[in-house]
Amino acid sequence: MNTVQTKKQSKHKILSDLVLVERAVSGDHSARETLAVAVLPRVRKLVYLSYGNRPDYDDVVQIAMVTIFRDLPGLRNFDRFTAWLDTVVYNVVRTQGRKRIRLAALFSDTDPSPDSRHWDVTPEDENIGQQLIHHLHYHLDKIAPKKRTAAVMSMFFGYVDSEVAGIMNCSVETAKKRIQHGRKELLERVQRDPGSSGLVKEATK
Amino acid sequence: MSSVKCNWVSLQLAKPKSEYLLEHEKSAIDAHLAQCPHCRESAELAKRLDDLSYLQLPPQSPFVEKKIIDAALEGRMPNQPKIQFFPYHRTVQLAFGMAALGAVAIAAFLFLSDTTPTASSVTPRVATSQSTEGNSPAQQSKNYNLFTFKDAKPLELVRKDKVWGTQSTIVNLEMLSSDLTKVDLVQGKIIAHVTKRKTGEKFVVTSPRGMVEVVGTIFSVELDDTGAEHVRVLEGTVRVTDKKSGVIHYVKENMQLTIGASGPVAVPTDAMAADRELMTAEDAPLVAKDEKTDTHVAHASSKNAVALAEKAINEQRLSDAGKHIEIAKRSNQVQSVPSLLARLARAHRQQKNYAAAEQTYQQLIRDYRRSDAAKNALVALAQLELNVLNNNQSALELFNAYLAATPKGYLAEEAWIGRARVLRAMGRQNELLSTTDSYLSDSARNTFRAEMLLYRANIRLESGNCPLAEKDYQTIIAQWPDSRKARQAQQGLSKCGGNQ
Repeated sequence: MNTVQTKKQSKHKILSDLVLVERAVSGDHSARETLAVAVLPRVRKLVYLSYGNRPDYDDVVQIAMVTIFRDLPGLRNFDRFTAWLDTVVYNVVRTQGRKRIRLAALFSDTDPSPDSRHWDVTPEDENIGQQLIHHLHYHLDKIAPKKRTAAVMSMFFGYVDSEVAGIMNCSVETAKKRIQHGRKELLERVQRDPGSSGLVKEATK
Repeated sequence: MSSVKCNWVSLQLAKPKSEYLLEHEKSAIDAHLAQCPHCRESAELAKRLDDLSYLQLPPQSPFVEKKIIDAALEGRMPNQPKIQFFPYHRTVQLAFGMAALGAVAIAAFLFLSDTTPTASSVTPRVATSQSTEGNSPAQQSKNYNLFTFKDAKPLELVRKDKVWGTQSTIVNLEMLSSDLTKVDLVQGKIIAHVTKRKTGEKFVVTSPRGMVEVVGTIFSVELDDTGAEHVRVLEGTVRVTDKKSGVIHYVKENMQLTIGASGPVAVPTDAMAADRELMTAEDAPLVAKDEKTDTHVAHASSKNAVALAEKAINEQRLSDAGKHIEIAKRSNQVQSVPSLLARLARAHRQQKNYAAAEQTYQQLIRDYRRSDAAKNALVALAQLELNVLNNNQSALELFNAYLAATPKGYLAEEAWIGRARVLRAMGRQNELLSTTDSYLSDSARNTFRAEMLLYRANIRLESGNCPLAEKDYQTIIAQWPDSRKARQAQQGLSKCGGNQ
């Protein structure tokens, strides 16, 4: 557990390592590789929460990663790297995701199932935090996309209203409303679901 | 009234912690919470859910992760989703979809038939280029588009103009109008072949300090490591403006101007040879005829070796790829060689040329043992030996070597399960038992937990230790009830019952 935490901390440190980001922006291959490894969990988490665990989840993660590293040379403000990263992922989810959902709805017989998993871990092997994130994702999936994304940015990534407004390209007031209503809907849904509320209590003991 | 109050309170509770409430709002909420248990519970939950940034997803399969990271670094987008047969109950949706497609097709036809031909599009051959704004002609006419050269393929512009770039050269391409094309060199070196233009039609290359205007010529602009900017003309004449001093120079064929210098000088032969080599790199011989006597050509060729090797691998010309990698090895591009060798080995394996794949992996492991690619190659080669070449002993050694080198490595779980499978195939039960025990003792390892438990249970069953075997079988059935392993465990359990 400690090693896992240390790994996560080190990845977080990498994301705030301005020198590394600068090297990656200037095209240093090893820096880009290190950054890609550090960035991937954040991208996966954001895509999972705002797009959903649909059959083409891996594809959307890949598109987001490719877009990030394609547009990286254009990054100027290195200390805003994570915000820039989340903006890129949000835009990819919004455009690519929407396109793919429409295609799937037109041509595919099966509806996307939020429960299908893309990793090799069975529910029993997951820790409480990992189970909670699946439960929350299940409820988030029922919320309208804009409210959902705003709530995710605020609750899971710690962004304040103005930052969410910047990422979602809307006014601060709109972002505030989206966050507030998204959070309210999520709270109500979690409260109505005894399994989820029990997990929340257990996870935040 | 009460429900309205609850609704208002829950909306206030949903505000992030950082957002402050007014005093009278706070007191109204407190008063309400004192008498409403439902909202009290909601408040408690809101507090707990305020910050969830600590939550993380479970780890993904290392292979999927690696695939995505490689794709991100190489700029490979995923394939489009597969279109299945149209189900009957989607006929209405499909009809709408087809109608929409038809409408789009008609609109496109009308638009194209109405538009006069303009010089505002980049041909789709620009496979290696990357745009920050998209590739539509309209956008390109208004915005800057960033292109990174990755191989020797030229960028084809309007009017059959071509631009070559050395690897990792970055340019901003701007099509201001049909009369003006502007290429902004951000880093590296480009060679432009500009077709003859009418008076007033311009092709401009800008660099941080210089501006080069042409009306039909071949020339190169290079931004070297020291920041100096060199313009070399292979054919025709160009007009170079020093943005800083405003001085204008005309540079003629076979002349070179370093921007800021007093005037043009004759182009050094090696620079000219390098430029010509870059222009013809796509069809150029892999190695110069005689490396000892023609060092310039060899040097120029090695500059593009990595790009050419990547291109050859993508096009499945694997013997060419091997030659390019050899050239890259001899040049100063050694850092790219391990990953190229790994890709080459993978390509050989895909073509079912297992002997060549084995040889390439061995070369990678032997020559670049410290690189990550070589460490990963240990597992890849071991799997090849085990699954295809049936060389169990060699596979076991390779798995052991990986686990010894990087016990917590990227492919450690693959190595553990590989080792267990080899030992099972070799019938070395004691070692298999200790391997499964070691694997299962670490709770962080979970990808192959079911398979390891099954191996351990089977060994215990064979050695007559039914109670412990049963325990493992039951764990498998309880944790993975719908899996094939659970069915095998069920069979094991029934054998246990029979024995007893």
